[in-house]
Amino acid sequence: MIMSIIEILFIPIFLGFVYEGILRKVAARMQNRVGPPIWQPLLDFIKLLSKESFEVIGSHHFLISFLSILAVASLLVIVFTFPFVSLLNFRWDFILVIYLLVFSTACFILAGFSFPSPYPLIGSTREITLLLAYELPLIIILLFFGMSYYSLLLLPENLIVSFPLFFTAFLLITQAKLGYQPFNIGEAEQEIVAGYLTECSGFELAMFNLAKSLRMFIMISLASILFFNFKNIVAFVLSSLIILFFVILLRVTLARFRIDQGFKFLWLVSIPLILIDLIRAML
Amino acid sequence: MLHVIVDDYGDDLKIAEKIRKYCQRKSPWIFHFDTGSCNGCDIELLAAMSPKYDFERFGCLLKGSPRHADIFLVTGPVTRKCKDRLVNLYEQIPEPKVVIAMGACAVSKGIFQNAYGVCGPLDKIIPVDVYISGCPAKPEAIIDGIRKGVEILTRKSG
Repeated sequence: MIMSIIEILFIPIFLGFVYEGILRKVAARMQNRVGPPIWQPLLDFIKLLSKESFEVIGSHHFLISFLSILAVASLLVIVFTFPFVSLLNFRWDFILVIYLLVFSTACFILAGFSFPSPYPLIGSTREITLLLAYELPLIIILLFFGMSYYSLLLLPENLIVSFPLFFTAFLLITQAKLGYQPFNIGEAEQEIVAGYLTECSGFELAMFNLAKSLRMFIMISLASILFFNFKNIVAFVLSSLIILFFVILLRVTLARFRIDQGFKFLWLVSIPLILIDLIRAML
Repeated sequence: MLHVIVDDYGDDLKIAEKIRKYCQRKSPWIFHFDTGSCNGCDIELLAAMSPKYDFERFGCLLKGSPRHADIFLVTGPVTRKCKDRLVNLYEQIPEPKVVIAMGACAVSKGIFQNAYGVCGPLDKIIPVDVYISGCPAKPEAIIDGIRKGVEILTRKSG
């Protein structure tokens, strides 16, 4: 029992770091560079843990540490709802997944708001605006699956054949959810330093970076579970890697939207895509 | 000004210490600050990021915030306007940290020897660990300087 809990906690963290490393390596190869080794995010994580953690004047240091741990914890709870995990029959539903994903993003946003500096403030404000744009299509997709199969459990379905436009919309939402190009509006390096993470250092930054890689693992696994029906772990990881390749491709090739353009794009492109498939499914 | 790279860390270091030092050596994040240089050094720094030299293969990343950084890379003779900001930024970098003076201006004021608006060189204002000479410094020299700075970083952390 204890062993399986440790597995469930450490395998997602490990895979999150590996996916992040693959992302950096493949992105570097796409730009004709050599790129860092695949285990680089793990090295960054340990290095950040060994660094000093600043207490910013005017902010509550304990609150930010707590929020960073909460962001990681809320994402780790999502892993328990995955179909491969059979611990304690701990199966919950789409609504819990939606809630916890928003919760971890809210931790980022609250941490940004708790600093008395303009850059985290702007980053958090932008992230909230973007949250309004990508959360609705995500909820429509997840709840549609739940309603059409009379079950809100996260069950593997082979839906890429019947709902290709859902998959396209889900890829766009994944980019926005992960804060990658073209939706890295909340942490736009060239404009607002590092967005909501500008003032974080040491332990908090390590935890937020871990939360980011975990979020990537979870969004990609969610896409793999919903759209590719693979029963064993190996096929699951392989289909995840295919989705990861699309994520990297979009991240490397596209430029950043302005906040209003990004908002409009998410509403005017992803929601019509979803509606077309919804109407097709009803007919 | 001279520094000796210590390769042998002794056998009495624990495994955790070794892992920590390995990670510190392999992921130096750089914060770059221009204290009134002619932009030559800054462009060479960007050249060190480019596909031909690519310092990301050593784990280096250019970070926008001083709170994320390990290495403070300064170019330019320090102008009077910049001095307070420089000290402010230096204090915002979390320990352990390493300062690299890059280019002839930061090392020795370069051609700004008797200029009235300049109060450099850099080591008069903040402690400097590595000096990279050249006007502008070559990308190879920058990567070499970062490697040496990283060795100092692992020793500074104890």
